[in-house]
Amino acid sequence: MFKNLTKLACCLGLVNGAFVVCSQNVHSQDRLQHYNFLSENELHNLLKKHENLSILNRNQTEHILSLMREANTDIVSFRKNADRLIRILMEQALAQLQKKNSVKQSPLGFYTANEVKFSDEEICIVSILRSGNAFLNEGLRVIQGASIGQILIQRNEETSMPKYFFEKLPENIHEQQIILVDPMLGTGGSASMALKILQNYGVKEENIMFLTLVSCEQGLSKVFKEHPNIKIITAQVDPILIKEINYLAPGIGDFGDRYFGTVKKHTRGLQV
Amino acid sequence: MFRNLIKLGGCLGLLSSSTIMCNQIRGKNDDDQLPHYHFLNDHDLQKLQKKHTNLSIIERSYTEHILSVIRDVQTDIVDFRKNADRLIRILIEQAISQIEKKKHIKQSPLGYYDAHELKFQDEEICFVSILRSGNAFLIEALKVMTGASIGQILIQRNEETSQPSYFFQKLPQNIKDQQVILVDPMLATGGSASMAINILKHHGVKEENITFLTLVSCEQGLSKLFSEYPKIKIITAQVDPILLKDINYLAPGIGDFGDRYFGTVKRNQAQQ
Repeated sequence: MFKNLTKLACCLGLVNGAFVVCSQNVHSQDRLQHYNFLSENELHNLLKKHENLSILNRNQTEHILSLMREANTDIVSFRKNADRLIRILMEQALAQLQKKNSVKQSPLGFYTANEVKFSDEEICIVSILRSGNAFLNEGLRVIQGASIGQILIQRNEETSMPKYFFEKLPENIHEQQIILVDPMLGTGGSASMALKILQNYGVKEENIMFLTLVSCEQGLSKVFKEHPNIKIITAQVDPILIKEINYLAPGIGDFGDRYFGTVKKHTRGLQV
Repeated sequence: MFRNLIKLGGCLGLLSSSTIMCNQIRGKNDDDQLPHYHFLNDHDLQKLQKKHTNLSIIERSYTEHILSVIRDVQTDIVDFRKNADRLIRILIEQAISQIEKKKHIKQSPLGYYDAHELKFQDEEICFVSILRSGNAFLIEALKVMTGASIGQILIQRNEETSQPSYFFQKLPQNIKDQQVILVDPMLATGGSASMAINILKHHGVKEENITFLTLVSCEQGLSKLFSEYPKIKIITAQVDPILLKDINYLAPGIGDFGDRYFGTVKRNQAQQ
């Protein structure tokens, strides 16, 4: 409104400094905050504090995350980049699975082979619906024979408390290696609830790996405190969890809405 | 048990004709006790298509091989997924081919020609999947229409009463302006599909804008849907002859598609 008044005044030539004021208003976007990422030192401290935490190398993730975070990124671009990052995370998860030695023969001679100890079927990707399903696309390309479990947990937007709806897990899940997936780790409420459900099914903590794109210290600490033996792999740790709405900042916005194209029109431009 | 007794009798030499009986038992397939279902013949299929003008059944030559592999109880999970994805892709291409096109003139390297292209952009098309099994369609759907929106409705069928139970939904806000492709691999009683279409109508979607895709269906389900929603279109890969009354499963059917695709088959059912 102020901008319009100034424009009007400008047109009517009523205000001398109208020109200068107009220029200033162009940068009204400065009203939104500029969030700085964690420094190398802070990340180092975080890794020391939680030894089961892995953060992907910044070189691999910087470009992709920059595109994903941008509010103007269209849905096709968002999906492409999300899939790339999810693939990188999944490869990292597989890299951390136990391997066994054997001797194999190459065309020229023998060598020591190190292969993942588990067959495809012994790995189960458990996704926290709805957003976690985005991981299944790339997940199945990497591990074609993996089982897929699903747990539907929705976060109540007012209270930020997680609400459980539904689950479908393989019957023999207590014998499998679990890769639990959810794109964002905010308060850690949903993840924690999902982990409890897995434990109720007899899954051991050491067999669980939790993959997430963007997380924050608060969520990481909560999950590690309640389940110290799981492993967590994240692409980046954001500095802030905005208190009232419990969204990460700068964050990605609502990953599910952006990936599946159910963004509500009035929030499209919101810099959260 | 009978077989074991004979074996025992044979070993103890108690029965003189035991050799002959053993051969008979060995050669006797357990499968002889299971019924052999025959598919509908061309005449029946023609009558079905005359009765429901908005029904399309994909040509048998496309689907025979793939469905044979999917139906096979011994098919492992990787092959099941590969073939399911092929069939899903065929169905989606068919659905898109039935969407309105607009004509304009374009230029090829040698001259002008009449271009017929889809009237709608990617974003104006929404795939709505009936969780959990419907999600299998989303992987191929996104490969075909990279910019489409995705809606999700969770409906589970109570295994005792066969009544559908609604759990949860997330649909794009502007879904009433979109072309909706509703997906669910199996159409049996038609209960879940009917509930889902009801939900879509509540959101303002017009029947003419809904196409329902399903791999295997039956007459009962098709009749129910067309009588409640005469203007929707349904595309199916094959119509099975029988809906088993007590458990409301299609026969010969595929079994539980969700369990087989996602690898959550319960062990005691694995042999059926």
